[in-house]
Amino acid sequence: MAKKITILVRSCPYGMATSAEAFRGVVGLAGMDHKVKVVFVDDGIYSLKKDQHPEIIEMKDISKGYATIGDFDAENYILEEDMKERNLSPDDFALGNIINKDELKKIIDDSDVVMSFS
Amino acid sequence: MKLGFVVRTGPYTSQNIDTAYELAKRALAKGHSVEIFLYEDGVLSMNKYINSPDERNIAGRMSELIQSGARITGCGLCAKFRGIKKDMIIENTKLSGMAVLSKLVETSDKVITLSF
Repeated sequence: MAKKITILVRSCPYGMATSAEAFRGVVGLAGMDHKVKVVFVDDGIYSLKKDQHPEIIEMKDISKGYATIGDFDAENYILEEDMKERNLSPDDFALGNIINKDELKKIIDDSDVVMSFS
Repeated sequence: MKLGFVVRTGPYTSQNIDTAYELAKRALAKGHSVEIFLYEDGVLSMNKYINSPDERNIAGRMSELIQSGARITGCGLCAKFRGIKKDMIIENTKLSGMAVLSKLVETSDKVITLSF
């Protein structure tokens, strides 16, 4: 039976494998028909930032990976409070829906499983 | 009840695998079933060559859980990236793909992620 899964991405991309491994988890789970919502919180929000140049350190642009998860009916969300705390605005992101903490709470309440990648 | 564990950190650096072991051991003793998916550095805990003089042997602890009925699978790609080969892993465990993680999530009543 497919489950409703929330994946929390909490660490910045490239410094650790966290965001990339969360992405692999998202594809693996959403590809098996689970209903996956990915919420970027804390420094995890940088994963979806526009104009990344990870090729300088021989890495791949993680935002381009997350841009494809809609193909598996998975969705990307960015936590508004963490965005503001970092002096960023919705225009700074390549993709993702902005949600606040109350909406995050509803998403978590509605989930069967929450997996945190921090 | 079935408990599913996802452990993302390696042995001896973080307590996560020890926490999974302690919880799993007690859950199994109470008649619950346990499945563990070792992800990222977590796969290092299934290396049968772990040698820890005068300290708890984490690979041994994984074997103990298997003998008590737990199922333990490691992420095959994570193992490949870390040079862990099939002949290096403890008996009655296997390396597999994300389909196993998907199945664990699907079939567990509770999923516990042990991360950084």
